[in-house]
Amino acid sequence: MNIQPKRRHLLVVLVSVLTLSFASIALATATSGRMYKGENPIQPPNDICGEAIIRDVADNVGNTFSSSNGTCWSPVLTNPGVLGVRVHGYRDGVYCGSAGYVYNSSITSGIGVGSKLCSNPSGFQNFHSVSLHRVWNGSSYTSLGTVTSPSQTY
Amino acid sequence: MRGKLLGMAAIAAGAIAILTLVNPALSDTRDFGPVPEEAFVVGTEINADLVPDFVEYAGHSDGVIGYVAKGDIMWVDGEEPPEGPIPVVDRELNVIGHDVPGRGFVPLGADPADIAPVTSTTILYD
Repeated sequence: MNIQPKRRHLLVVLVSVLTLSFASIALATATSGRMYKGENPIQPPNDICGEAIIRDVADNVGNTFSSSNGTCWSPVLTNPGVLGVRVHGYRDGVYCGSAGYVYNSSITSGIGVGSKLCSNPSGFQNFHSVSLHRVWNGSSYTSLGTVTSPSQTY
Repeated sequence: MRGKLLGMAAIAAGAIAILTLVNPALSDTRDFGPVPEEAFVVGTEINADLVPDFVEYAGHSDGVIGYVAKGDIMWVDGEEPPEGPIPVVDRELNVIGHDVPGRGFVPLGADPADIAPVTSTTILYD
């Protein structure tokens, strides 16, 4: 079939757009990445980082990490009970519920909780996770706010 | 003519004021709805300023079964949301049940122990 160059270019662009559109729906996981939330009061100057994820399929995950000062990707082991995390789930902006708080029960660099908080009816919906983070300061837990995941469509 | 119009406006304003006192719902500006997509700011807090006072709530069902106060599910004005069960209300703000973390919706009068817990996984990182 002989397609004129201009129309062929248009066809390539159209196919690319459609492919990317389907790819974004088919992608299994959407993550906020690890976000700085505050200093580790037990082990300064190390950092506490939080992460919110939508995992395949419509699985809400929240993580709290302890990491070296200035980065969220250099794990620092912490004692049991120091790190806490909770996760909330949303579907098309509707609140589904929460899981957590959970705390690290052993020496670890991070603690996470995952749960399919929302139902996933037929058709396409946008899902979000919102993670909440805590750290032990020696006498009580300090809340470090939340992290929001990107949306993921299922 | 102008005097008549001013008089009518004053009467109307007075009537509205009286009705407002009698029926507070007329001055109720609380709103209901889902969290708008633009409020989900990736990597940080939900922008609570864009969120309705009462957020649509589904629990684990396919549809909306009630509403939860936004301060009960997200940080608002520096206040952390509560950790425990939160009330679920109808449009008239009558409590119809609670959202119990790890269990979901527990109707008013039901025992949370009778509601199957939502499966969750704890992850430990080295």
